[in-house]
Amino acid sequence: MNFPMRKVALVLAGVAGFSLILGGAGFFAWRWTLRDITEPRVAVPKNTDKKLTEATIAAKTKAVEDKIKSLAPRGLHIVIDTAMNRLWLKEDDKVIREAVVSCGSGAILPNPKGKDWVFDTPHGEYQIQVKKKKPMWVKPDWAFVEEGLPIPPKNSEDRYEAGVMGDYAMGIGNGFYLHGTMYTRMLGRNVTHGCVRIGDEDLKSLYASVPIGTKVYLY
Amino acid sequence: MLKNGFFIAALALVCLLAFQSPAGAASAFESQLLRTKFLESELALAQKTRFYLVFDLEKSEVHLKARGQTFRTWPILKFQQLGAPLPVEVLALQKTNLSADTFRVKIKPPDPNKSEEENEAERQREIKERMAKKAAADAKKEADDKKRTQTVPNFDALELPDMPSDFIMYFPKNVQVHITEAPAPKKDFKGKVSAWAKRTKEAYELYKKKSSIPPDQTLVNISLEEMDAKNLYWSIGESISVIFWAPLD
Repeated sequence: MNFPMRKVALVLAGVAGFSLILGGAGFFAWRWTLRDITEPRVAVPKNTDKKLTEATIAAKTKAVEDKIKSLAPRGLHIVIDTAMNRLWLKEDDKVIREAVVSCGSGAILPNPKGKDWVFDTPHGEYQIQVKKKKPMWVKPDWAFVEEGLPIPPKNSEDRYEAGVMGDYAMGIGNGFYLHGTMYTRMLGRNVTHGCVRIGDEDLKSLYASVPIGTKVYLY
Repeated sequence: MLKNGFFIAALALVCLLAFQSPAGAASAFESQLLRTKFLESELALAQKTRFYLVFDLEKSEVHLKARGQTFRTWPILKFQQLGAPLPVEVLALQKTNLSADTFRVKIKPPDPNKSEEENEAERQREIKERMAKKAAADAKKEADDKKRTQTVPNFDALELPDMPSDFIMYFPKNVQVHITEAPAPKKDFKGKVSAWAKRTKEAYELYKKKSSIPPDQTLVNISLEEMDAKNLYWSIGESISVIFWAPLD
């Protein structure tokens, strides 16, 4: 029996051609449907200043760009990623030291007398306001509430606890500190009440490097 | 011959329509004006001490910035926009559809009427219950997620993997940004077919949505890598400001 090779080839070519046309049509239909969805569209600005020309506006753009560049962190500064629990000491764009730290746990502690405490490390630009050697922890109200203890008066001796903040502490305001820790095993995890805990060696180096006024960027 | 000519002309027309730019060409002056407007908006934010986001739709990136400097960049894997054009100005986040408080651990102080052992036992029981709930939720996830939960020690913490990777941000001027995690690419044939079917369904749904959206509303869908989406949620806080940037055509 003679195998109809020619016929089979023709059928296969027909099927391939039909699939190609169908696929192509589908692709173009897809592009057509989504053509104005996948491209960003922004509102055209209205020009309210009729004196503006292309030259003046180009100069204005350059001036604004320069002004933004001038605001960027320069010199010695600290950057802390609170999600990754990492700290970088930087001089301009150069990283001088990188450290694994512990940031806020994000936990909520109900406050029997008012707004609940939320243990987040704050985000934003701060600066080193105070530097302390052998810092004494002055326990805030939440430390007693968390332990189920009665809150002592403001100047009570019960509020002072030595050793828990390590050898050095650097305050950035609102009661938040960069300080040492006894729980080095927890470095790299979000476990603090909002402060940034740093390992001994990194803390010592950081304390020696940064003067008061050093900017701290936390995100 | 005539048939071929007609076919080629029709194909050329389809190609032209398919690849044409959706907006009309803008003048150089308008483009420059928009760039200035964007930079002025950024300057207003850079002068403050807070972080802000720039959705750079020209480069397909989200930048976390402060003082004009980029601290983190997350690549946009997929972008879709429906409705009105995006305003190029500072928009302060009004809310998200998921409050961070829903993920937070609530600390229960020890009961002074119970012994230390009883309190500790209760605390450990609560941690176990919480871990069991978390493990059950994570069981649906990928194998690496499972591995992570097995190694979590027993302490109260809200960490990056606990953040959502699918959430909506609401801004003034009726702008909504839906952040999702991009699905991992499928390698097997079945997975590819299912991904294609999903994309087709999505395109159809978008097409339907396109005609029903009010003219003053802007819906933006952005897909990021899973951890990038979680990082973004971590960074936005309660009222971060954002600016969208894309050039005029």
